[in-house]
Amino acid sequence: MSEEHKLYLKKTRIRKLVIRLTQFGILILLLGLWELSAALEWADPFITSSPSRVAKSIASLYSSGELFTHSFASLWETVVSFLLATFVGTAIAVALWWNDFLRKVAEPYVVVLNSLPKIALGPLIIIWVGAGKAAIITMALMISLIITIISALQGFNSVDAEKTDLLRSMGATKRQIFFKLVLPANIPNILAILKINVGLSWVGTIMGEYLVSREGLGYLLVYGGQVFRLDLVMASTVILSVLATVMYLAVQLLEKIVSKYF
Amino acid sequence: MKLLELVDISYIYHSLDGETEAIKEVNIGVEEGGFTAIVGPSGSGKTTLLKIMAGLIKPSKGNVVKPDGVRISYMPQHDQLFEWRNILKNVTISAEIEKTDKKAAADYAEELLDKYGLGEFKKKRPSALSGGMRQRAALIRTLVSKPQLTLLDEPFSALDFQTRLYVSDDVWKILSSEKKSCVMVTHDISEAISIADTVVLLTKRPATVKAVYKIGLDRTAPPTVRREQPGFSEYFKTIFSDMEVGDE
Repeated sequence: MSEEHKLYLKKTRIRKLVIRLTQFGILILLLGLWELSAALEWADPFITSSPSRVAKSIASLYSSGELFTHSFASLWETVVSFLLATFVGTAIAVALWWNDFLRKVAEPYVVVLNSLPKIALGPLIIIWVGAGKAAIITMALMISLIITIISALQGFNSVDAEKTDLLRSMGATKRQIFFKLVLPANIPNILAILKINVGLSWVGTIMGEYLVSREGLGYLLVYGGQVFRLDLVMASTVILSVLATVMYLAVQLLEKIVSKYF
Repeated sequence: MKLLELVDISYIYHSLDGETEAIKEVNIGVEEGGFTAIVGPSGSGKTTLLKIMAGLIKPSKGNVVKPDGVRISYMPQHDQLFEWRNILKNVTISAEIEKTDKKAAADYAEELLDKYGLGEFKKKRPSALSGGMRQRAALIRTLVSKPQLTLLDEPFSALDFQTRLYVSDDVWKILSSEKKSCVMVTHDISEAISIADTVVLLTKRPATVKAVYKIGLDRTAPPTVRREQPGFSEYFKTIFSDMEVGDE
């Protein structure tokens, strides 16, 4: 290894370290300022809460066991709607890819459903499927399903026509073209959709919980707001961001593993 | 014996803006053991004609006559190797599509890959190969189904000039030592003269056969050598002056 390359590696390492330290520093600084402003009463801690109050709040949720009940409820709803949206959405996209007539017919419906703010369906969903978990999952599903269909279909249709011709010249059936070409060519696209759906499923779950639930992080947020316990609201937000990040990282890990093959 | 014959082929392309006559009453016969190059101005419907030969497009009029048992294999303009498959899996895909003996196909493919310098890349992804090697792999994929006739669409157009020269030597070497007949489409007259024994010149749209040239260069020599042979430049001048300027 040349001296120049060693220097290059060292510089890259140092730069990475500086970035990490700065990120960490900003977090500490913000938390510190927040805590200080509460301690010195620059701002009313009753309204703004403070890191130590949030920590206490999380600790008490933990010791009462509520931390797991609420986190698990939200996580379960999110994961179920995430998986449903991905599989049902991809399946519908496959059907629309398969049948061009169907796709053309469905087009305006998909456009309208996509532009509609799904929260408007809240009352209908509650009446149709009941004010329980099913309503929350339906809400989350509505939010990510249509965009899954649109993105997956777009990916399916953007496969190089020359590749299709190649397989057709060998006498491939539509089914073979799908499984040998279109699906494997779209694995990276489907993984990108998964990443978007993690975020959307959380939006849907929390929104659904605002509307109907008796448990879950969305419920904690609404409840905390109503009884003016801002510590609880902040604590729920922190837990929520941790869970969402973990789920996102899990999908990213899956992407890393799968993209070695595609 | 003729492996394939186009009889009075016409093709009309329909769109909402109207119809375009792309090909008009074309007759071409492909002899066994021959190497035919189809040249013509750009936009003259060469690729369409090749796709009709490959059975990918139905002609509006006329017949494609193919004796029973003649197998035809088509190679598109770009190598179109699938990145999620290794080279061996790429070149044996026809066996999966046609549901023929995969083991036999793999054995034959390995033999060809070894023979033509891709042996050590069998388990590699296409992206690990150079442009010329990818084109060789694509050609081997065309051969694994053991066709008598191969149809090549501008096989060198995606390559830079130097690579194009040695890849055309490669392609010629592989096709002639495997004794495959071939129809190749190209817009490059010198490429056509250097590799083919018959050159079919098309007019601009609607494409008809303007002239057919028998090339009398030494067929045992690779294309780069044929380019140096006496007569090459005369063929070039003749065909060049006969060729019409395309639409673009």
